[in-house]
Amino acid sequence: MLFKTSSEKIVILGLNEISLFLAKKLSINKDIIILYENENFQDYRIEETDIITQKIDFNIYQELTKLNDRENIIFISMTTDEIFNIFAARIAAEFNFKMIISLVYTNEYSQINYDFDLIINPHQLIINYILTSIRETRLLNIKRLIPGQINISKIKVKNDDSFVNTKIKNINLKKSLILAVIRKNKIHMATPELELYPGDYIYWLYKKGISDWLRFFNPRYYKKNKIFIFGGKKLCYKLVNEIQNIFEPIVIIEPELKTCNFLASKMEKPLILHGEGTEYNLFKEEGMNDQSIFIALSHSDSQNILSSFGAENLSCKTVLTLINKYHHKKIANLLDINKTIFIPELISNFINKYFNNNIKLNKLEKDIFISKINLSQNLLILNKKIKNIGLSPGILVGVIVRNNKIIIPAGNNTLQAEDTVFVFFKKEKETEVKNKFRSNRI
Amino acid sequence: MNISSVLHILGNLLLLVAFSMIFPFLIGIYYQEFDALIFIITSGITAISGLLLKKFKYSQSDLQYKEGFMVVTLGWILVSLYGGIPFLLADIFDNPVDALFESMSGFTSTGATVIMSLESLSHTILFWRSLTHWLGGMGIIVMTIAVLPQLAGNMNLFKAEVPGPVHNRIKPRIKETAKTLWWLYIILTLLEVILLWLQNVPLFEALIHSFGTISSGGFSSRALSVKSYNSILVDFIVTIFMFLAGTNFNLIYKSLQGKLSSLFYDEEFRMYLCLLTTAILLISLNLYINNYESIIQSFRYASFQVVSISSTTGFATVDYDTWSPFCRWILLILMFIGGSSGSTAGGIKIIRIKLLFKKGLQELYRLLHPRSVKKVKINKQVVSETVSTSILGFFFLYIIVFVSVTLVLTYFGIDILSSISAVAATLGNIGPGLGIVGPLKTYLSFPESAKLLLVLCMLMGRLEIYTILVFIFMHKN
Repeated sequence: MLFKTSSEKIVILGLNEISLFLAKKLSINKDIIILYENENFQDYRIEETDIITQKIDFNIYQELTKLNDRENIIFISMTTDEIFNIFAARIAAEFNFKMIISLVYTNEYSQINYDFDLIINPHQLIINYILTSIRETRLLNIKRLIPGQINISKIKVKNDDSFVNTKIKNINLKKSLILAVIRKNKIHMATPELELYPGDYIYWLYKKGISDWLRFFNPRYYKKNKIFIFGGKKLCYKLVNEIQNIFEPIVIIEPELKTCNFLASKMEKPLILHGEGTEYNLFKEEGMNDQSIFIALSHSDSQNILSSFGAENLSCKTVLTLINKYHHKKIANLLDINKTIFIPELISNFINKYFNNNIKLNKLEKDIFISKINLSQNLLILNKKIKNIGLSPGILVGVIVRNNKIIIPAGNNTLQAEDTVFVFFKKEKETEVKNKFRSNRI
Repeated sequence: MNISSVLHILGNLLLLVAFSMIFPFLIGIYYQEFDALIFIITSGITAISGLLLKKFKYSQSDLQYKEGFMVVTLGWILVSLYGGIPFLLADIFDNPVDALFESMSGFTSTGATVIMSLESLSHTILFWRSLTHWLGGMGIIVMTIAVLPQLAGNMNLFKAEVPGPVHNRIKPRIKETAKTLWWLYIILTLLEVILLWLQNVPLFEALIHSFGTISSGGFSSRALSVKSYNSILVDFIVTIFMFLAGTNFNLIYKSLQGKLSSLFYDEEFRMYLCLLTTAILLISLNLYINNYESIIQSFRYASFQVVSISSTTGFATVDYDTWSPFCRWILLILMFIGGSSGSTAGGIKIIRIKLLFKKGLQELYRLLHPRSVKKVKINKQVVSETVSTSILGFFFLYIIVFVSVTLVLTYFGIDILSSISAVAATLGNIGPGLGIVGPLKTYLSFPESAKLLLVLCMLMGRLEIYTILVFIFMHKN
């Protein structure tokens, strides 16, 4: 056809650094309309990007009714006001849009079911990125995924361990489970016949309790990298909450005394220092060295870049820098600060992956994945002992959540409808997991 | 200042005391004792004084914090003065200082006595003596708030009588909180009475000892105190209830509601348990090595004495004054620390010790990391600077009062150990101390002026120093 337009449109509500960056990325193969209320955000890139910007009235309902062909429109609510985002997306949910996505900053708000297709929590994306960068992402993601009193640890088998040179079936695991064994960089799913040797790394899943207390006497569970976080306020608070049980010590440097007081009142473990990110002497005094990790999260790009520059000069092992303005990213790169966190980029990558149906499964190790599955009625595996459901080697049921009670199953446990199960499996077993745990066979 | 309202409330307070004197009268009638008449006379005098004071006009709106401090201080003094009259009329003492000492010791739930032979006293007087403990244990002002509708919601009065660092309420309204606390107090008392009675303790004595236990007072009907029953089960029951008396009543209430976990999430309770366990283990071990042949016997005596001193009850099953200096030193430390906040126990209180300890650590932390920002927290709640400063101030004043009064006592020729323990025992509302005021001895040998000083110590200890000092300096300002 002569005047064919692309079939899919994206309507983004809100004009700001994030929405503009996203629009620019998506505009390559989609039509983009940005709706905005105020003209505070002025950027030369608006003119350079192939998008339509449209000023709207305060009445969002009326504006949405003006959009035609709504079943082909993806609506993304992306203003800086999360409450307005939820409100607008909720109204949009009443129309027949193809997809609804909203930006929400508060964890609690993002967990409510609004009937949106996707809720993006930028802080969570940043935290995930940081965790990936400091190489603890897998265990942390899994710990976050499995609710309640469950923990997973990666421990090294030593000569003096009681279970060394013993087959897994002969180890008294009590209420725990060995998920996988890493031997000479090769990963093996745990099987009853697998024997543990010194030098093996094992992924051990267990209920929290005494084993957690034992960690105090067993320092090998802890990482020795000191983490320094500069600024970040709420984001810093969220990040520390995620990592404080894994990394110790954590040092927070915060320029605002009020925020220092807030953080000190909320957290027990981290050392909170009142200071600027450019006080390199403070870094040295607190023991920053080549094993340290430095994360700059303040709202000021210049402070973040300068503090990261200092941390790089003190030979920090990993330096991560939050950048709020796109052109500052280039300056950071010029100063050899390469690991930058740019929120619009994280969000647009995430949305792109979502559009391409390419969001990764949670990984335990290279080829071992974890999947959370709610067991529906009429599955063939229901009401049978796990040992009798014919799971091939390479698939393990790790945790069953039944009526809010957490069970680490043995072969004799049965699966019931409405259970939530956490299945660990090798990449090549993905289809079998889908068939057994998701398909309706009757 | 609204003196008229203060006098009106004091009148109400005296009427309540007059009413409470009916109970010893009834006991006297039951036992057909002459002393019953004394309580009719005293009750009459107290009631008339109360009615006269009640003539003064009361205005709720004018009752500010200064009036609160005044009511509480004068209230406790007046109640103790009137409460001492029966001792004089019954001819137990021939001087009013001794009567005031015994009465103040009763109402402040101290348990220090100037009576040599308890067995010679009538049931009526013994009951009154223990009833003063019971009334004072939960607080006479708290009782007044619970009973009198016109004082409902008066937080100034409540704070002046219960001036601890935290004011957790069981119920949203202060009147309801006071009522609930009193009900809990009554239930615990009745429970102990029944349990002791089931162990063949005569009902009257079960009542006396239960009053002494729950109020953490320590007045007994026998010179040998709980030791006279020589029963492991009686020891055990009294130990458990002394332990409860030293526990925050809010926590006991929550536990009774099924929230048992609240006990173990409470830092003060954990420290209370930890302190008691450590002290019991150390003393048991020392007693086993030095005094007793059996570890069970050592443990039995150690646990009773430790819980008794820590909860500031002051009952004894053994003369711990004969124990090694190590054991006595531990007991002396426990005298200073006392029980939990929100309990009937006295002393500095465990929560304050914990906060002082944390404050010390915070300063140490600040020296190691001069730029650090660290908050002192109790039960995951930040303790404000105002509260921290107030606790530091309280500790300082406690030590100042302790040192000054000890100095005066030594001036009277009393030996250092006895002076130190006498002040610690009265300021901490414990009762018996060490040396000449040991568990099987009395304060009778002290000069009158020394007794008056100790009366002041008891009052200061019960009202946690600040209330009395505010009352004194209020007039200077």
